[in-house]
Amino acid sequence: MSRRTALILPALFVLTLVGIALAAPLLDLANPVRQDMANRLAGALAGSPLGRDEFGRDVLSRLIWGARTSLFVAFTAAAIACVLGTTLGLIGGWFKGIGAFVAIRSAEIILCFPPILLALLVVTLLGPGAGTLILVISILYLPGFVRVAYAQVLATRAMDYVEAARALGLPTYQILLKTILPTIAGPVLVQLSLAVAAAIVLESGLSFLGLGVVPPSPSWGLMIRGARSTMEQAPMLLLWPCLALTLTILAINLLCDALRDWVDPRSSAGPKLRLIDRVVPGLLPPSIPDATLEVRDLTVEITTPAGLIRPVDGVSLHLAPGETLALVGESGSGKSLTATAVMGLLPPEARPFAVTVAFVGRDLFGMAERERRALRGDRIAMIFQDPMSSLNPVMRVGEQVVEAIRAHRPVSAKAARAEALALFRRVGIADPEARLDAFAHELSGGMRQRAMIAIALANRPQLIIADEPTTALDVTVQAQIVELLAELQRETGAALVFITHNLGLVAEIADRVAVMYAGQVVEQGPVAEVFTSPRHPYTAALIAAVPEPGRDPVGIPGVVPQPHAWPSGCRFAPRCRFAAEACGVPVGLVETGSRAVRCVRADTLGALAPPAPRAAEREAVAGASNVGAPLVVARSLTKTFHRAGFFRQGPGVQAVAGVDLTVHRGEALGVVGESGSGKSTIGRLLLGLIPPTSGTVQFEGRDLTTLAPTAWRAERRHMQIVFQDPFGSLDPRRRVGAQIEDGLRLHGLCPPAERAAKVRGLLERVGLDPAYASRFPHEFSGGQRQRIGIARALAVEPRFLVADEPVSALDVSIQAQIVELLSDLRRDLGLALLFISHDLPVVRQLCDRVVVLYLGRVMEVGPAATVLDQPRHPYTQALASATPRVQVADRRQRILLPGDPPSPASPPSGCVFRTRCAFATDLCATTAPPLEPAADGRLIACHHWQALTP
Amino acid sequence: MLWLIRRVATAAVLAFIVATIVFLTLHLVPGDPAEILLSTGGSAPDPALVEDLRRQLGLDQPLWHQYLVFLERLARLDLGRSLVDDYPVAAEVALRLPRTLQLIAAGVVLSILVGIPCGVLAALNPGGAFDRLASTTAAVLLAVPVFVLGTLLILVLAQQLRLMPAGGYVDPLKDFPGFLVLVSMPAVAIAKGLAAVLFRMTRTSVLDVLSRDFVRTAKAKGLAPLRIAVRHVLRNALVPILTVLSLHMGTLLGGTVLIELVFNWPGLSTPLLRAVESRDYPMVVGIVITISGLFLLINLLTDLLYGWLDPRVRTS
Ligand SMILES: Nc1ncnc2c1ncn2[C@@H]1O[C@H](COP(=O)(O)OP(=O)(O)O)[C@@H](O)[C@H]1O
Ligand code: SF4
Ligand code: SF4
Ligand SMILES: [Mg+2]
Repeated sequence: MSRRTALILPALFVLTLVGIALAAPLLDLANPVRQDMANRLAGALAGSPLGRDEFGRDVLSRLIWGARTSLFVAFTAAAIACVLGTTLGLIGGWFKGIGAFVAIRSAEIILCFPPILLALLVVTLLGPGAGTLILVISILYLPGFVRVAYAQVLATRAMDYVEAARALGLPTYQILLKTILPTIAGPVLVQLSLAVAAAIVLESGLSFLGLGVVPPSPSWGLMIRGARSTMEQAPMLLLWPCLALTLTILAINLLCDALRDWVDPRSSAGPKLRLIDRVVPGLLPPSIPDATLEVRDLTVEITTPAGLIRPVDGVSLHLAPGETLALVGESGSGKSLTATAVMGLLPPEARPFAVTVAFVGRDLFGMAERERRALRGDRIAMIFQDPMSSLNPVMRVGEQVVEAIRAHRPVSAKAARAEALALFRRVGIADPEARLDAFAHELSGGMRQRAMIAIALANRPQLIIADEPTTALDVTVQAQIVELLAELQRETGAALVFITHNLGLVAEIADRVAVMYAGQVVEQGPVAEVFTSPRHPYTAALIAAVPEPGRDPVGIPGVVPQPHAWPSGCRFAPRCRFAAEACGVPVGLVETGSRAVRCVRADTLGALAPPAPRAAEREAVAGASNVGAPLVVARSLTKTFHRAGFFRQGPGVQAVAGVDLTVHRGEALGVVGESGSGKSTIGRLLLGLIPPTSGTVQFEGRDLTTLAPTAWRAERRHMQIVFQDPFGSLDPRRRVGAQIEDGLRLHGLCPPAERAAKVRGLLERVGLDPAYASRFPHEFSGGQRQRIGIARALAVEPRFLVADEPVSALDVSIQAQIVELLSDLRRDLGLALLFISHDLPVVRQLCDRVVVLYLGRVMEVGPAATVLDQPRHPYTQALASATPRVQVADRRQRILLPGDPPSPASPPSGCVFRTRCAFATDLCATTAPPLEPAADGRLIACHHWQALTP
Repeated sequence: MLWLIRRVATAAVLAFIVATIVFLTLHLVPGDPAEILLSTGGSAPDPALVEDLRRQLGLDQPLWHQYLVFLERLARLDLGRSLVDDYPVAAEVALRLPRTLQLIAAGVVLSILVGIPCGVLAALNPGGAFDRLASTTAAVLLAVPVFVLGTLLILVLAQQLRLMPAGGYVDPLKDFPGFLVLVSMPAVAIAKGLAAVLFRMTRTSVLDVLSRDFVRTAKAKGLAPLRIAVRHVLRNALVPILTVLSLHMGTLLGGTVLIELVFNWPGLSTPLLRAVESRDYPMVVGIVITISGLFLLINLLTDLLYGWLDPRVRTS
């Protein structure tokens, strides 16, 4: 049954039933309460197709009138509960606070009573009857609605697009109506159908007990009660109301399930693709005898609703013992699928084929699953991207290591634990004994990834496949993990496949690199050669997109095409600046010596120079002269978050502590620091989206913290925000044009007739087709959504824009495009920009000045070029050195910071950085260093910076 | 440890609030409670009788005094006396509660034994024959009200096929096989909803856990499928199942009231229904408080189990 019929069939049934019940007085039915003892228990009679009951009343008529009673009670009660409960939940969820909390909790008290008992209690007091039933049922189902609405509001108000609506100055009631009500409408509807079904059950149950509807009024429950005494003589009398009741509830339940699937497509199991695992055994013997891994012509096929796709198409790789091969490419190029195919961990709907997939000469695809399992985790190990979700949350991490050991070697539990301890120590987990017994959520991100590495190393594998092992981590932690992997590899002689989209990392860790694009390897060779003289236009473009000192990055136009829309010729052709007629035919991989290239023009093009950066850009960035008077001024800004709940617990998290900050007109100020250092919080404070715990924010001299709500909302048009997550920042239910238009309408910035034209203009301004205005957000790629977010912010012509990690979720190639756009906008519109990022090279390229944050405090602030090129503060130095560089010559002496940042809930005394600082002294432990000016225009918060300056 | 104390304290506070609400219901109703309890079909009751009842229920005392007396009695497990026959409510409850508990236990055990394994089985081959059969059965079971199922069971098994006795009770300590025979039909009727809910939740939950990253990690370690299912999938899948179990207990407890009537099971239902009909307020309150207390206790136990299963709950 399709999803549509699953929704329509039960809906039709329920509607018909309601229709009949409503029409009961109009139908030509016998009087449902007229007794006729002569025809007691009679079978079908003229005018009574279903016969008569124990008092000679007409059964059909009683069934229909009974439906009327049941449905009336159920729908009325459910509707009352729905309206009251949803309103309560909406208000509670939006305004939070103690009052709302108490209201929500008190509604939940009702859930402490088994429903029927509460009903009986009330019936005792009020006596039976339809009124009592409606009262009881609406009270009983009230908390359900409150809960659903409350939870949905809380979840939705955390979404970026709601924050964006607030940032635009939309009044609260409009936000509730426009963005929140549509999101909660689905779940509330589901709850409503649940409540109606439950109400019918309860009503019939109470009537069955003789405590619901008062006889002689007909009701299904009462009919069943009556028919029980005569069920031996007249079983049909019992069956009719039972059937009616069950079918009705079944229909409503099915409707409810269908609604739920419709509201939340993820919850349905959906049509599962059931495929036979066709695996073609290796046809040829492995040709490279001593290779640890040899993959020849690996293809992965998946049948999707859009047709058969080949997200991996003829990939060949080989890896010698002890060698590191990096697999790079934009997201969607097939890197992870290649790795999981080698591991044999593909999802069931994906089918792999290959000429050869051999591990030290053994054919992996040809062997039995048992044999393969014996290799997995033993000789071949894998490390995944997200260590949090990759560890079992309810099992101690030590146990998970022990389990990996004992799956392959017959050692005692005790010996295995001792090994696990040694492994933990080896991968640099502090306090390893205690950490063995910890759960994943009790470890920091870096610690978890170390635990994952310990699991992978448990049996000293010959091959390790690491799939973006550092993407979810901070640069400082990334540096630690990469160092560790390289060290371990040297020690054990394992071969390593390192998947990443970070070219800098490739340059640091890999011997050879394979560049993937659209399911194919487009270039392969030794890293040093490929990076200094790329031969494929895609490789050259990727390298050019990475921000490096002294050279501005250039984005790659367009996006990686979807697997079902790959061009028939060279797949890179639509984005290639060298594309020519010859490129229209499928292109093979051509090997020459240690290099291989998939480009028909490789020979004519020769070694490729990076595309030239646009000339205009240099000026814009260098032209810091157009920086004007102070626009946003923050003084002693502090923000402390407390845990939500009835009682305030503990000291709270100090996200920002005593920060002074000024953004000038037309200036780009960068904010850098590890995650949790308070970057986003500062952004939201400067916009006045959250109130500071103490300190002030002034915008053009007006104190945002003391403005009345209307004045505050009017102020919105001068300052806007762009978010990190391109998926959460747009309302998925509204057309892109309408979302961009919100700000125009709200602030009356242009006459209604011109709005559509203005929206088109804005889309064009951010580099999108104006026709996109009528599309929905899901039709766009990440980079395009980010452009839409920028267009929405620009609509109100703000003077100040906060961009909170606007490029962090994007591929480098797209990153460069967005950075280009932002710097153009700055130049053309004179926009002041607060650019939050953890990517120092991007900040260096885009910003005039930079603020370095650590645990909510400013460590160093000054001109971006000075601070980032010659960092003085020990923390800035460590941050700068942790950033991987593509050009080998640029690499500095790596400063590895030990451990993770301390918790902002309990910052260290004195200098907050001292627990990780190599130069800390006693003074640092007692006294917080003040921000001192240095000669070159920067401020530094360190007691010893002068001594440390070379 | 702190978490444990907090949970127990929360349960105690809830119990207190529940008792207070029950106490207040009598006073929340507009009008004179004694008059309301005595009124039948609109005719005004005899003023002397009203005065009597008022004294008997202590309604002539100030409200706070009544409340304190109520709490003090509750603390001594004194639930007052029946208005009909002056019999102590606590004694009636003590006699009948064990029988109701036997029925509930049978129902819960049955639904867990059927619901969870069927759910796991269905999840292992989603869309397969077993999955479709079990899912359909569950949908139908969810739609049949308990008392309908009970009545139909009697109609078919007892009256038409004459396989089972239509109802009744023996003490399991005296005649255990006889008890099992008698408890089977009411237990099936009462278990049907919970079994169906558990089945659905188990199926969803196992399917969900199977697609999680840590299961992929377990596979990457080379663990055998059975070990993955037991060590990694089941325990994680149990967490939401448990939540559903405790949420659904209220419905199950309410269901016993109906089922005891249908099968002539001499538990708390008989005195409760009699008391509601004759508006024997103290008896109704006594039984409602008992069953609600039972519900809270079960929820506390599932909460504790929840914390044992999922360490994240303990630290939050
Ligand atoms: N709404 C909030 N409630 C509680 N804690 C928060 C909230 N927002 C941020 N924090 C905490 O404040 C600290 C700084 O967070 P944030 O500003 O997001 O840092 P960054 O943007 O640098 O990653 C973190 O420890 C974070 O967990
Ligand atoms: S084959 Fe043509 S389109 Fe493809 S990368 Fe080479 S030059 Fe560009
Ligand atoms: S003040 Fe001390 S601890 Fe802080 S950065 Fe300077 S040297 Fe390091
Ligand atoms: Mg952030």
